[in-house]
This record gives sequence, C-alpha cells and structure tokens, in this order.
Amino acid sequence: MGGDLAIEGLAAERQAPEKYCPSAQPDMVGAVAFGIVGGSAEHPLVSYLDRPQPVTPELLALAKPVEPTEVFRFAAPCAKDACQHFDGANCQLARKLAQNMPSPIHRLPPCRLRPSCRWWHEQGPLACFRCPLVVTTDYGAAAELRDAADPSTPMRIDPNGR
Amino acid sequence: MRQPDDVSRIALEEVTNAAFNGVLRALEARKLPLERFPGPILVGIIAWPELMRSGLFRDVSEEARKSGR
Repeated sequence: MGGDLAIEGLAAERQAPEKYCPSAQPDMVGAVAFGIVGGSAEHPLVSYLDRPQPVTPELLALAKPVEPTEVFRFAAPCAKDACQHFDGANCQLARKLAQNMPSPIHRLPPCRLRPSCRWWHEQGPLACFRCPLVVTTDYGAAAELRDAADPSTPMRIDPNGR
Repeated sequence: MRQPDDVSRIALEEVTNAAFNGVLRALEARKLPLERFPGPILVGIIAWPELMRSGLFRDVSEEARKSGR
C-alpha cells in the first residue's frame, strides 16, 4: 500500500509542471528574462515582458555597465534544496515578501511567468502584489526587503497564523 | 512619474528602450546611501556554496569559449 502511494506521489511530481523562481540568476540552467526594472532609484517598479526571452549575450549586453540582475528579472527552475530560502517544502523568501513587504499595487501584474511561478503557487496574489518591487541585485533596498532577502532572518509572528 | 498601480507590459520591440531606462535607474540606485550594508543585497536564489557546482549553473566561460566570444 505504502509503496503504491509512493509511486503515485512520484508520478504526480513528474507530471506537475516545474516551478520557476522569479528572482533567479541569468547563468542558471533554463533561465529566461521576464521583466525589466523601471520606476525610479528610490521606488523601482518592474514591468513584465509580453514574452519571456531566452538569456542571450545580446540581452545581457543591454544591461552594461551594470549587472543584468539590476536591470532584468530572470526566472529559472527552482533550485529547491540547493537554495538557502527553501525549507524543504516552500520558499521562505516568497513567504517573507508576502507577509512583510508593503504592497504597491492591488491588482495582478500582467506577468507571463505566473502559471509556473513558485511564489504565485505558494503565496498567491500576496506575492504578485509585491513582486514588482523586487530587484534581484538591489543597491537601494528597503529594510523590509533586506530582511526578507536574508535567509537567516526569522519569520515574523503572524497573528493570523499564516 | 508612474503611479504605483501602473505596472505595465513590455512588448518585444520596447525591450531595448526599457532596458536602457533600467540601466539609468540602476546607476542612480547605486548612488543611494547604504543604510546597513556595504554593498547590494541579493533578493532571490542563494545557493549553498557546496552546491554551486551541482549543475545548477551553466558554465558561461565554457559557452563563451565554444562560441568564440
């Protein structure tokens, strides 16, 4: 019985679409660009590409002389246990962003990554409302963002038990 | 100035212009006073150091060598 369940679980996992991290590095296997950071230095705001683009030398060159992750948002298959934010089941970065960051928007951004986004699958609209604030390599990050980005920062106690 | 709810979609032909504006924004962001840390922070995947060579990342230098760049 237990063996059958394990096999069914593995089969379901194989059939489930791969979850993507929406704040990845461009040199990760399977990476695509899906957003560009706009707004201002103090208040960055990501716009989303009509069609996610493969990471090419030409695309990366558009970001010179700064780092591509200061200009673009890249997605790549979630690294799961290879990432310090993954607790074995969920992405704690997404959870901290959803709980601690102020929300600049109140409607879902036009993001093409959403169907395969780990943050969306785990936190739903709470993550999407905050996603436009995220700059992967951020020189001007707000305190809440710095705390969320630090894997050693504990979760705040949530009275709603989330 | 864009309003907070004005999160937009970028068409393919607008990528170059949007990226250029993004570079200007990033250069301005580098001038902001740093509150607590001596450099930028990384918001996203932070790989465990011992797993950096586990196939998570492409070998960019090898790809560049093969393509002759």
